[in-house]
Amino acid sequence: MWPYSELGIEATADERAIKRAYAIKLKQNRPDENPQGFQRLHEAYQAALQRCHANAPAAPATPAPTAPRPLPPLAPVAARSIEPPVRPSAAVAPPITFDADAFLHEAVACADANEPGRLRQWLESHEALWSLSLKTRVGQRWLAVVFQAAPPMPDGCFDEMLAFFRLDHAGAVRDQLMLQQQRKRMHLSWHLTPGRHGELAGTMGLKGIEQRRRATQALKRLQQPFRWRTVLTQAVWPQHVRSTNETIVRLAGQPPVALPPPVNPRQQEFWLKAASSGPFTRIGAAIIGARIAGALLLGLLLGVGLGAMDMVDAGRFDWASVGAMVAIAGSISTVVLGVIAWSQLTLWQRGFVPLRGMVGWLHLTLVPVLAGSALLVVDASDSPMAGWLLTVPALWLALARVLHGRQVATSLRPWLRLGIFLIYPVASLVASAVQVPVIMGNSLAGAALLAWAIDAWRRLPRRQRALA
Amino acid sequence: MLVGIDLGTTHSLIGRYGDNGPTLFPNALGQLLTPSVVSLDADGHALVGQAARDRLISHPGSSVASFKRWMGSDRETRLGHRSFRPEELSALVLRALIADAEAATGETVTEAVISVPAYFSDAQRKATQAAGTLAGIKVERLINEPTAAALAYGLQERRDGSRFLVFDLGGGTFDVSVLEMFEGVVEVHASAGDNFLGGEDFLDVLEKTCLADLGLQRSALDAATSGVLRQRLETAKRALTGQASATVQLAVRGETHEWSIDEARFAQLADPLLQRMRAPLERAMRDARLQAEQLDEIVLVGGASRMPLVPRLVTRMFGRLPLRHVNPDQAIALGACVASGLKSRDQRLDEVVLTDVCPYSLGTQVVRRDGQGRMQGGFFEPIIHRNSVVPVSREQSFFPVNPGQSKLRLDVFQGESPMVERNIKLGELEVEIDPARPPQENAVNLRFTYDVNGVLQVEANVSSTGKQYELVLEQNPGVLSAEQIRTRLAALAEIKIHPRSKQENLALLARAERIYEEHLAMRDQVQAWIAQFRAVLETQDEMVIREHRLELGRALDTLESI
Repeated sequence: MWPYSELGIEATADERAIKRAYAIKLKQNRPDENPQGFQRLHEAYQAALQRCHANAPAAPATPAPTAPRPLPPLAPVAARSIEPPVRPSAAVAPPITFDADAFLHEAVACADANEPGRLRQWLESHEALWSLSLKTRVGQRWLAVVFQAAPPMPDGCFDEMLAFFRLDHAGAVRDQLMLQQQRKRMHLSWHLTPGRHGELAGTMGLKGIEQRRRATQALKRLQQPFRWRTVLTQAVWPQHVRSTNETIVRLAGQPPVALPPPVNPRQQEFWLKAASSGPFTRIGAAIIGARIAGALLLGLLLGVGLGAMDMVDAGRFDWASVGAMVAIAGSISTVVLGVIAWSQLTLWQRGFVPLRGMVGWLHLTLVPVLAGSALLVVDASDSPMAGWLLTVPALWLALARVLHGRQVATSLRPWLRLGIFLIYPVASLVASAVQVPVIMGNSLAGAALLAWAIDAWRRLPRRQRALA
Repeated sequence: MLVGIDLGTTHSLIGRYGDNGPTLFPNALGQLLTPSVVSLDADGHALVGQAARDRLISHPGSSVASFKRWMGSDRETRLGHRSFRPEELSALVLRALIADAEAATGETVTEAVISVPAYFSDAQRKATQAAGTLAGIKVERLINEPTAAALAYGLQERRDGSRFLVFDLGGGTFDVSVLEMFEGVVEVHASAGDNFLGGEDFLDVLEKTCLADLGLQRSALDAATSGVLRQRLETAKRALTGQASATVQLAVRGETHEWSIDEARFAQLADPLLQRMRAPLERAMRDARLQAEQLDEIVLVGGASRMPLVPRLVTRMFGRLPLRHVNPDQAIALGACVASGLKSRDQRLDEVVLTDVCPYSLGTQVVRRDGQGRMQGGFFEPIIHRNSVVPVSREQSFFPVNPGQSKLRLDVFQGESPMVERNIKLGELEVEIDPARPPQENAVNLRFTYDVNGVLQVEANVSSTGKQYELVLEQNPGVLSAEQIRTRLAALAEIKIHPRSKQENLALLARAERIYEEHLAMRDQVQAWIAQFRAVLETQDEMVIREHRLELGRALDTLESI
């Protein structure tokens, strides 16, 4: 049985026998004369030794790695004064009473100033850590702290800690990616502690006072306790949603990782969903509900105000004034509602919805349905007006889909919007001049269909991936 | 004849595996240690060894030392009218050593085993081999210095079944190796080191502090004065091994300065260097997977390990006193001689097999996917882990990231950092893959093979097409090509080293000239002696010259002892 067959010994051989067999075989397979034979032999030797050690009762010389104890919370570090290191006499083994957790607590506190050089000096000043065995143990403990508690620490100091414990090489930690992410997380959490938001804005690459102010506000929002009433009130304003989402993406990347405390994870989840989900999700619906309620309230207030002014002018209560007041309130609310609904519809159309269920199909076919019915109406009915009413939205939505995520479109967008609104009067003027209204309507609906088709083609690979 | 050579930063030695085991050969002055210093005289002849070392003070513009630290780089040194690469300077030292060996045995030296620091990089190893070629010999094998020391020590002590650590602090390099010896097998478990840490750095620290304390600028001193200062500080450093404090006197422009240092101050100044020494020790122990208690012995070699700071450092880290039975200056050279005996398959070494390790990790660059499916690039994936036993050949499979990818670039990196940006790129290989296959079925097998001489071979095998690719590692900037070595060999052959018969006289003259520079009081007297000795040399009468030489030597001894 391999590896024993390669060495020519029994599987029950002890370490001494394995070594002797290896030494004899090695003299026939010298590394410089028979490289392949040597490598085979050496691998067999290593494997045999390993099995031998695994079967043998644990040698007293090698202390078993201590299982990581549950970690004490590391975040609130009291600013303790650093005690002078205890100097053990040189010949004596290091004291066993070294408190690794207290030491690491202090290291985190020391790193808070973000001065890697000072941290290194502080680490090197610990006399007890000259001992090889103790230092290895404390290093392992530090890794456990990093992976479990991730205390706030700037990345320069983090690197210094890894270098001090010689954990900064490729083989030291199995999951290097995870380690890198913990590093980033700890750096962020150090940055996010109150009082460093100003620097943070700088590291996020924000220019301009206005941008910084918004980012600072967004950070404040993210750190609040989560309450539906508060967040919905804030989410009524679309720019809050946008700026908070932008801040999260700048900090956590795209797609964003979970931000460390003091950011509230529920807040992060809410604002990310608020920005990305359409009206058919819980959060999306809640926000739209809040906005509708807001619009109604606004209309009502205005109506009541105007009506009250009217009544004060007249000097008496009048049912006609009440009717006018209700009408005004209703019309204002309706306009606001219409705008909200339309912008939500556009947003939803722009986004990506997997082709599954009713919603998915509706998302895909809304534009062609609108454009097709516009063509039918224009052809069949005498009033081109009804056709136009369907063509313009179809064109709007199709363009919104095509131009989504394109850099060019950002500067052109206001002009495009204006253009689509003006297309009806301009086109009807042209149509009345040449007296062929039907052709104009047809070509615009056709353009909408074309734009939609281009976009659908572009989205095809994504759709396939989403399905897979 | 096959010889063993220790080509050190401050001193070099030569020897061979003779009838009585490893034997070292003395130079023309009867010393085993030849200083690694080269100097050119007015005729364009080269001086190597003690004479050149003395000329560092009297002729600083045409003398150079510590050039081993520049091996593997393009740095050139100007001596007289000609500039030299570090390989050429080393070649001159090798030529002087070879002349000594040939004089001692009467045989021609054709091949050599040369020791190099274990942590020498590929470029530095190639430069050492080039130095051998330039000196007209074939370098059969490069042996790692701590391994050589272990060979000498282990075979001498005949300790079977023991594990030990060799701590090698030389003039310019620091190496640590963990080894095991059993049944005639010398197995290196791990090596680590620092190529820019040695006795010279301790001297630098002393020099800087001394100048700062005396309020002098280094640029304000002429080359001769700073040479004198360095040699006096070296003496003081050595004195600190035995006594509690040492004093240095220095004359600058007629003014005499005095500076003294005690042990505690030196320890404090050296602390940053001691901190740097911790890293290789910790890494070697971890890579060997050994606890401090499992080591049987700790062997200190290298001249700088004589400083009392070093045993104290080892005690602090390992909790016990290091053991030292070897001569720290000669252990490596003796080991190189044993290695030459092994290489020539000497009968008495038939039972000895040496296995060594590759000091660096070698691998490639990969992209990793995190928990959310995001790609993150720039990670280093080692294929041959550092401290693998050589020769070694390992294969690993890699897959394209995206579907429809038609090419895959495989970079070859050397280093220890988990991110490739901090490692050294050795080369790259671009392979074509079948874009129609899904990525997970489109493996490319990358094989790294590292042989006993430290040559890396990279092969890639595309599993879908069966195509083979091989990488020829690109020329490193600090390495000479075979063509360049040939042209430089011819140029270097023009530089003659003084014959051995003359060297004793030349060394004495150089010494007298150094003393002339150093001593302000007796200058006229020394100058008269020099003139007289030169006149005697003109007579070419061996008997008279010998008599005068002994007399002058005694006179200089008396002068220096005052």
